[in-house]
Amino acid sequence: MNLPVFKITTREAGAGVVLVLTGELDLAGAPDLNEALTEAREAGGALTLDLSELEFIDSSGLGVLVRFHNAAEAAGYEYSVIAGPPQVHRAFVLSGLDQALPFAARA
Amino acid sequence: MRAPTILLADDDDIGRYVIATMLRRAGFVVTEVADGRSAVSAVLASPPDVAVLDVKMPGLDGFEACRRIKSHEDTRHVPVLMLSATFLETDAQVEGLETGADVYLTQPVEAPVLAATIRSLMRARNLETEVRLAAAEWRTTFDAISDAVAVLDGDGVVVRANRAFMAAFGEGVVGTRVDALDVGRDSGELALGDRTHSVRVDLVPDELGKSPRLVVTLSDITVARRSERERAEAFVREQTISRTLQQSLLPERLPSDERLALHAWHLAAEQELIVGGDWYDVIEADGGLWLVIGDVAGHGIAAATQAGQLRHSLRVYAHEGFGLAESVRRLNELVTGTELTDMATMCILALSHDSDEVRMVSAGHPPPVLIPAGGPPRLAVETHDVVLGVVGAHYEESTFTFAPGDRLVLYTDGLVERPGEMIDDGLERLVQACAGIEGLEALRLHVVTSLVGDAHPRDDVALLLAERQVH
Repeated sequence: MNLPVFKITTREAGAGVVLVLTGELDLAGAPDLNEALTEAREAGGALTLDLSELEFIDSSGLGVLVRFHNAAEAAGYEYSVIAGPPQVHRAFVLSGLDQALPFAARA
Repeated sequence: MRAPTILLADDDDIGRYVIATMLRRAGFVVTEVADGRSAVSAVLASPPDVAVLDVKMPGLDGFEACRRIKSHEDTRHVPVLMLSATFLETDAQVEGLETGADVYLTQPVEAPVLAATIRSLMRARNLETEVRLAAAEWRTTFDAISDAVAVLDGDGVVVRANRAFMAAFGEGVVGTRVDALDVGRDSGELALGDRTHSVRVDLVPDELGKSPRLVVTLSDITVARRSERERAEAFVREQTISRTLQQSLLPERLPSDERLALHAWHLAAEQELIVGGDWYDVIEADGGLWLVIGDVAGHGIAAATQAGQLRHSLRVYAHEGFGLAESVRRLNELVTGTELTDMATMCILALSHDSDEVRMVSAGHPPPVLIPAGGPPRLAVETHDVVLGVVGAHYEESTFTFAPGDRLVLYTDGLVERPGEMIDDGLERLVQACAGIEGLEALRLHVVTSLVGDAHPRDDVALLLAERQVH
């Protein structure tokens, strides 16, 4: 079986960056995401986390976002999240994270 | 390229002159001697490309000279052409060839025939040299291989073996059958003393109708096997610790009460995965019972330990009289303040013995299934709050009716999550599976069979079922 590999693509956008997540985010991809998010926050520019190309997220992936969210809140760092496709966004809804994380209004 | 050299021995000056002239004209460098003894020492001193010996010489004749050249280690590769002044009987020719002479020519010999014969001898010699070099190179390579390699014939007899193979099976192994190899060839592995070898068998393509030969290669994989075994042992160790921890997570027995029947079940994940952080608990509090189910993100000892901390902390809050929402808020503070874990989901239902109303707080946990005594099963609530782990999260109670005869199914997401599908499909399957089955144990069995099957699930699954008894 050929599983979609988890990948993070960084795109410059104005004064900040967009992190585009593709593939399946689970325990294996969580450390990479954690690192990319920390790097973006420390760089200090605006951050948009784009989940629109993500195919799957599990609790390890959600956990990384929760941890990042707490750190961002504590540092007064603002960022936004572009929602993923229905099966991904459903995980955010069921965990209540759709209310807790700064999801951008859908285009 | 240097001119080929010929050693010519003939006691007859004229005959020798004629032959030497023919050879020089053909481009050979000729050294002349007049007797057999001188021929042997000249060949030994400086081996020519070809030696041409007259048969009849005084003292040491051509036959004897040839025999001596062919029997000496340093000169046996020198081709010898025997010349006879007169036609010899077949017996004599045979004698000439049996001394090791390569060619036998009778005088008078014509110049082109002589030159062609000598060139042919040299070509054969060069080919032989190449084959000998290739064989030596191959032998050196063969012996240099650290794997034990042997060539077996169709009957399993060792035809050739390299140094490592002989070190393993003895110097005299060539020409014998090694029975141990039969076992190894079947299993792919062979233990020799305290070493483990992988066994590889290659078939040498059949040639000219000969029975096929096999090349057997034994590679020492003792070290690789050892670290594999150590990894497996470490894995089993962690699994044992985790399972023990998990047991400590779950209540030894559930409170039994004639007003409420309870049944719980924990299903371990498939063997490759280590335990998860799933737990359930039943706490006597508030003049009733709290039914608790939860799931810490991640696997292994860390997750199991974290789940244990959450479980015991909640018991403390309940006994100190904190309400549902307040208890969950405190658990959230515990999680975020100590960075106990990134995330956990949890659902608590507070059941009262003298009320049909159930109070519930869900921290991002999949909703319980309610099976009313007189209606189809459904998800008990649609609303929930956020998972444990978000700083400053707010939790609120919601309520629903749980009348005598109604049943509840609390579970963790391992039961309903399938990769590549909407979790709603799993929830729908669960609700369907809850229909039409009486009792708690039978219901649990049916639910697990329908949603997980016989196999171990990908993730741990915890289930807690409750039924309000009718009086």
